[in-house]
Amino acid sequence: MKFSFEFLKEFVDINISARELADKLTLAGLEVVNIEETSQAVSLETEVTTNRYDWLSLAGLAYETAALLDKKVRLKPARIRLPKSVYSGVSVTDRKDCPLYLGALIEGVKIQDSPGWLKKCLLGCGINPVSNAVDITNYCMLKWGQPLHAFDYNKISFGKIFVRRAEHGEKIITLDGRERKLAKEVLVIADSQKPIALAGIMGGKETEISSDTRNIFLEAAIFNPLVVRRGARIAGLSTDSSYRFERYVYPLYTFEAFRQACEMFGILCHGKVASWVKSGIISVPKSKTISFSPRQVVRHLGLNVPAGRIKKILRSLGGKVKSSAGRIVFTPPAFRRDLQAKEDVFEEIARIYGYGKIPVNLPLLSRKSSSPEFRFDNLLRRKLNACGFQEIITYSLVQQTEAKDFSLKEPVFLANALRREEGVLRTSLCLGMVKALNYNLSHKQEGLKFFELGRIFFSQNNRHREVQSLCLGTTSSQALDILRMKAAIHTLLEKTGIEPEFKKIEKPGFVSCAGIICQGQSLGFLAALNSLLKDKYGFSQEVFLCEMEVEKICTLAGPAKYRPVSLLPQVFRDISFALSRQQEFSAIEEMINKTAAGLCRNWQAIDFYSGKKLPAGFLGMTLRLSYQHPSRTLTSEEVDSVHEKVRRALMALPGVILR
Amino acid sequence: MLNKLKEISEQARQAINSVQTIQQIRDLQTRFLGRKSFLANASQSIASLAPEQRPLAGKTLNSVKKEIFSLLEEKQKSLQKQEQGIDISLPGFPVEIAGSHPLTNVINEICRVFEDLGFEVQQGSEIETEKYNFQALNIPLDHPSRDAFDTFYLQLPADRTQGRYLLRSHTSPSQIRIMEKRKPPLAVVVPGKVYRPDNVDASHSFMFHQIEGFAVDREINFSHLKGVLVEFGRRVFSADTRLRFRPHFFPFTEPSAEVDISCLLCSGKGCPVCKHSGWLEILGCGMIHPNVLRAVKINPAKFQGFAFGMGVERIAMLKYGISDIRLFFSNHKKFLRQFYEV
Ligand SMILES: [Zn+2]
Repeated sequence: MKFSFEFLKEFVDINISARELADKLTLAGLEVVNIEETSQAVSLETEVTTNRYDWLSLAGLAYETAALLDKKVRLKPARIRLPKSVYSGVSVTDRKDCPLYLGALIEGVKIQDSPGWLKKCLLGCGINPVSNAVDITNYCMLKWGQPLHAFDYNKISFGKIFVRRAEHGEKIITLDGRERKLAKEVLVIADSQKPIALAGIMGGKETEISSDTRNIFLEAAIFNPLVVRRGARIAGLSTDSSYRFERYVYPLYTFEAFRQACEMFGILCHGKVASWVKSGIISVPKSKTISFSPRQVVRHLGLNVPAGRIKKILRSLGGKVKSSAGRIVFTPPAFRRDLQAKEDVFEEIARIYGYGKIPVNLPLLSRKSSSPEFRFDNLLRRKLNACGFQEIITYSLVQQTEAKDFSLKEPVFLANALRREEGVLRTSLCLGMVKALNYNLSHKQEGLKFFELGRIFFSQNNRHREVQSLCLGTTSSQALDILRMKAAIHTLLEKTGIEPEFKKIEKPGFVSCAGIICQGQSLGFLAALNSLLKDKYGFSQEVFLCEMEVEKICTLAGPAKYRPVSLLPQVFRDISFALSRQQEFSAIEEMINKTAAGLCRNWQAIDFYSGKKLPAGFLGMTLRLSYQHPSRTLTSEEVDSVHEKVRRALMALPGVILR
Repeated sequence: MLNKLKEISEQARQAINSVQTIQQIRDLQTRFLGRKSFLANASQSIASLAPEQRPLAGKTLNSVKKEIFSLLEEKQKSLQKQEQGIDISLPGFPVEIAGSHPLTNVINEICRVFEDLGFEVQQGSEIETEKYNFQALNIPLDHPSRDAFDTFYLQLPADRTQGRYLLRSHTSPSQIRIMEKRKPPLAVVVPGKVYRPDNVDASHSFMFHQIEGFAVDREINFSHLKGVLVEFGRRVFSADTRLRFRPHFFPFTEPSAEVDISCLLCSGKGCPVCKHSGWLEILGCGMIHPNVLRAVKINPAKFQGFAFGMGVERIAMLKYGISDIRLFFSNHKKFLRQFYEV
């Protein structure tokens, strides 16, 4: 809320500058976010927390300022005597929607510009002056926190006012010129034919005050905060009026605002109150008394405020304070609806005394260990970094049509998505990975090795599941480079104590797919994007992806196992051959295990080649075998002999051409 | 004998002259001075000479040895002098080190500070229910105070007791879940992703990260909250960072406060970043509301505690002077590679 410093000074003596007051208010919980100084006025803009409706009026601000500066508040009520005659045209359908409705018929008004002082006052509070009638309602709203509305009486059909819910299909053109379709949830003010205002939100265009207006119907009512809130939401509107009604208005000030507006219509518009009506009762809920001991204040705040000081602070807030048997009994002022429990009062004490005066102490906490999941994530991060993978974080909300490219799991849909692009929760981390890789390639970034750790979500058997997932992604111009990724995953898992197997599987959207298996459990997969998806997501390069379930890795993980290192000499022998695509390499591994009889435990592909010299459908490779005896040095004759056996066995395999 | 020595001396001189490498020097050393060389064994031959010949032969042997030794040494020095290194002012070959995402770094840095202070780190679900995101936190179903917590709801059948499913709009539901399961004393921080239906721009994102923290015990009070957060400010920002506690309103704490740190750029003098106030808002906190404790069946007459919550992106942006929140999620390699763990 924006208010003018001068306006506030009318109600309380302020002997400090606007800037000093702003600091005091800010440190008391009413944050002043901006101070605007013009030659005309100094305005303070505040951010009012939802619990303090009273700070939305100058009256409430005056009480707060007075408490902070130890001053008295001057709030002069209007002197007008309202006539005896009762206005009989108001009927309220449901008291719950509108507990109080005050209305007055003011006759013979002259609509013109407001006097300078009023214009200046409104401008200082960020409200543009319109005409004397409208300005009066705004002035009274600012002062008392009670929104008012003035209708052109002659445009109200038969002078009848109904406070009722809108009927389905009813329409109204509001003051902002927009036609609005109404629903049953919306409370309206209607005449005998149609709605003429959205109750507590905005008036209607048809009954708007104009320069020709002669008679005015003035409304000061209390509408149900929830009803106003829902109505404003449906209409997509938030006005100074609805904002205040949603937060509560103080019934005593409803009446004060009403009387003051009537008086001002007389003075500034030459109008005369012909009749008025009070439908409902002006009832102020009784304040609860709150009792506590000064010891409790110390226990809660860690701050020792003397009892005398506590009482003085509470009195300055406008409440009643008594002492009995070492306890302080506080009755807050009726307008402070937010003070319900002793903790609320402790805040008041701390707030006025100053949060800054609360001491700074460290508590003694008996530390327990952090969650294993949190620590395991960080463990994985370190290992992935060591393998050269950079962490990324992508959005968990994705487009459904894209999500299904990477996972067949059933997604969880948002009920109120902002855009279709973020309509479902991700069912896989691959989509975000693919986009991050693509984004970087389009910015000419190379050597991309990324990983992400995050939740994926899906529906399963009518239940939703949320699972921590790990995704790795790289790109390359060489399809064979997926073997680097395979080796990286192998190393990563090996370094958590898992010996993985890679088993050929089929997966829609992917080629070169392998399931990553350990102890019969599937941890996830490794694969390359197929050409269709590469094309769809704009890649000319190969894209390799791996996704695994973190919980499964975590469960299988274990400490390092030591095996003695053999210092006996190793002898290397290379062997080059071409392998048909029909023949799996695993057959060769099996053969070596069988043929080399425990003398060859390690082998490595040191070269791959393809080309015209090879028959179609064949891949050339050089394998480096390492021979080592478990307990003695091998002679070169022994190595030659076993290697020759391996060569012959290899030659005998189908789909292998030895070079 | 003397002739033989002279001959060897001559041979050595020639051989050393034509030496090119350190390896050749080693070879010559072995050849002329090694254990099996003529010179090494010459003393025995001298013993078999006539006594009057011995002194001269001995003297000559020594001088030849010395001469060869110093020639070799000289040659080695001159070879080393000729050795050409690489011009080390040439540019280095780049080495890339992979790291964590900057937000992970900031989360871990903050969690470590709180772990040192005696907090444990726990994690919670991102899918939550109305009960845990709102009601148990004393946030009424339909109230202006809920405006600050606009929320993504999910198309899942509502739970009969917990209400609709949603994406948590803050990390506070974890506070409830943990207090429900465990008894005080408790001191926990919970980092994680949260979601709010905000349109994306330089300072808004529908997904961001928060760190929630809370401590509950018999005598935990507001001064402890201040102590913990002052320590956090000093360690995460800088040793001379000052904190300012402003009264505020949150439904789940009472008293509540918003905390500002002295501006990192102007250290309080006022600059455009802090809008000339000298302060930067950094987190919200307070003493846990008795209604929240009641909701998890902890007796507020016996136990009390504090809670705080902070936005990780905001802290990272302030720490590093990043002006656009979207950079965190675009994952440009050149952006990501600038950060490292501290
Ligand atoms: Zn600054």
